[in-house]
Amino acid sequence: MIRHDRRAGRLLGLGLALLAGGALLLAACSSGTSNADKTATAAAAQPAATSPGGAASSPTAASGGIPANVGKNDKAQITGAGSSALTPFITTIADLYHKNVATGVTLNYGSIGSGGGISQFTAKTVDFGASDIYLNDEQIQKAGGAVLNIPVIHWAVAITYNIPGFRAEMKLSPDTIAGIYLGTIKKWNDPAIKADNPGVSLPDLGITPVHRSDGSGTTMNFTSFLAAVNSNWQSKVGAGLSVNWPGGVGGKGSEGVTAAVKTAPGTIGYVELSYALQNNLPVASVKNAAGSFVKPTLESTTAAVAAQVPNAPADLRFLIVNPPASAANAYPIGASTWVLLYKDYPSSKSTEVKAMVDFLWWAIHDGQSYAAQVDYSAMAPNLVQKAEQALKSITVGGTPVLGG
Amino acid sequence: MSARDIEGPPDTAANLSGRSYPFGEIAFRAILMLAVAIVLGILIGLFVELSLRSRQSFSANGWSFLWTSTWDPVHEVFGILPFFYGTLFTAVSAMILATLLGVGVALFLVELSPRIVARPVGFMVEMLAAIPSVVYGLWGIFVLAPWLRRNVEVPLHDHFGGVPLFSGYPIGIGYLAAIAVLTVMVLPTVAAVSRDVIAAVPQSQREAALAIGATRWEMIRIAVLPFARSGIVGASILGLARGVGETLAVAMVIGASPNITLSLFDPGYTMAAVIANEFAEATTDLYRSTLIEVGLVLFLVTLLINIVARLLVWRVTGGERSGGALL
Repeated sequence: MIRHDRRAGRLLGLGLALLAGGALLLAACSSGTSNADKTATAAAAQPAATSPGGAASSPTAASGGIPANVGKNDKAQITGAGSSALTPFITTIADLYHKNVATGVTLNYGSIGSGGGISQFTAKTVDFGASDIYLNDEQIQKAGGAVLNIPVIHWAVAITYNIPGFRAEMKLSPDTIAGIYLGTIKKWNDPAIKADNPGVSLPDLGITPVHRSDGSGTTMNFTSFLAAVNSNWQSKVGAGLSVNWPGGVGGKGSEGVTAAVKTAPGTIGYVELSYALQNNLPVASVKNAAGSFVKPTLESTTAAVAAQVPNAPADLRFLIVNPPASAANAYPIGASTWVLLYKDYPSSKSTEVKAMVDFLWWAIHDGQSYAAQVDYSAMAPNLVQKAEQALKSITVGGTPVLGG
Repeated sequence: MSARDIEGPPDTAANLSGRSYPFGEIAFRAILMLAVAIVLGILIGLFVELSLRSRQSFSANGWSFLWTSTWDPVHEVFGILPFFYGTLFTAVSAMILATLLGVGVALFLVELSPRIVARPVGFMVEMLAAIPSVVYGLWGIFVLAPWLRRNVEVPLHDHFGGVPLFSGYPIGIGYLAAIAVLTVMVLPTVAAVSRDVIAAVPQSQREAALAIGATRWEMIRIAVLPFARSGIVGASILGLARGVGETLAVAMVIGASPNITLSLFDPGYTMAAVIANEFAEATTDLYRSTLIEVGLVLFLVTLLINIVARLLVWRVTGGERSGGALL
């Protein structure tokens, strides 16, 4: 009898343990976070560099342009979620910020993708969202409050290819790229490609365009570029995080696109510049509005941002594609990641919001110097000014956080 | 076996103390019932949640969602026929290949190999099931797909390019790579179940066949396979269900283009893969709801396969055992 009960008790315990284990598992699944922290620690080992510019323009400049809302040892945890493209940058600078600027402030960033970031943000489960595309009017309406879209980092969409034995620099004009992805340019020795590359011998080899199969900001900006420069693309395909591709092959993630391009001759694909740099992929120069062929680099992307800013709307909802001809050295396929913020936060969130605005202020000034470490392009100074205005407009319970 | 059989004779100690159900017994029952309730609750909850969340998609896309082929998130035009086709094409092909391989492995392990070989080989085949699917996916894109392209696709394309099956442009990733990866992933399920089923064939059957002068192959054909048939069918349907639901590995190697094509070299797409690929970045409500409806369809397809599998196994077993007994 006693033995019997004990055995059953053990079973009961086992059952409860299983249930608890299941619950833990579920909890663990729902809080998936970044896997890109390795870049963060790598970068943190570097000594803090000085800001390239913009720091002096702080209105509440207490020390090095950092608004002193939050004392060095005040405790606050900022939560954010969204774009995975932002992850290497934001985790790197948040780590540095925590170590060197405000030790009490930590960032909890969920690298869950832009779509997830937008829904977490509008559901108000995070302090800020991050997305590779700004919110459209409908989404802003749904967010239940005025929303700020602030770009904080940029990158280039690089075009890579696999042509056995081809050692020259590949040059492509926008219409040629559109033609390749529309399927109207089928061979590498097509007259259109020859015209872009005079005097270079090109093989009689079929072209297989490779695209991202998962929804991504890279696709968004690549297709936005094609839609901006090619009316055929605009009417047939359009622009989006995922589109209805006229043909070609999809690779999952940058690594999927790279694997396909690396292994199959004749392929062409597009990846973030950071990925191309880290994997030593050949990248094509793309013709910009000024008519010059420009290689994707961190600098040529920032140049594109700078050229685009004067025409940008006040709400900063603009793309870095096909910048005006005034910038001869601008690479024409750029991309941004936006931080999504509410204009007004409830007073109950005061601590977090003050810490967050301080951190973001630091991120668009000193933080920008760390962009290159993770192979991203820094904001152009004229954009930093506009971002400052946006951050200054944030209020908590009606009171401006930055007081200026 | 019913619940009544399990209860058995009441505990002697319990009888002596005059209680027929001690606390432990009741708690044990409650835990078991809770477990069942949780499983059923999850299943029903899933269905309800999927249905509710796909309402927006259903009212916008209508029934034609099921048989149109355009998938255009930009203009919000959605049709899932190519995903449906891709799911069945890859899963059925993988099931057929895995059944051939799996039954071969099972027969070898049970009928041919000495015990000392059978143990480790059987263990290794089962180990294939323990490999995470992302590992299969990575192996697929970095090793298998390039290998297939060089050694299988290019030669086949060069010599038999006229045959629709080999007409596409060989790039490595595509239907063939997806089917190959799926076959390996499904194989352990089919092999393990088939082995158990074949091992369960009574020894007297084999001896009888051998006694009338059958060779080993004839013995397998007339005595072993007919007996194990229903179990093997069940095993392959289990494999099919696994193949239909497999997501990540397929998403990584299938080439993600909604094509309805016979060519093994063309890229394709499956329902599970499109959800995995596009859900995270589905930024509009209708788009998101549509992907959830794809999930609902996938759920129903899996359910249907399982029902068909049940019926099939019942029919096969019915023909052999209970059917005869009943009539």
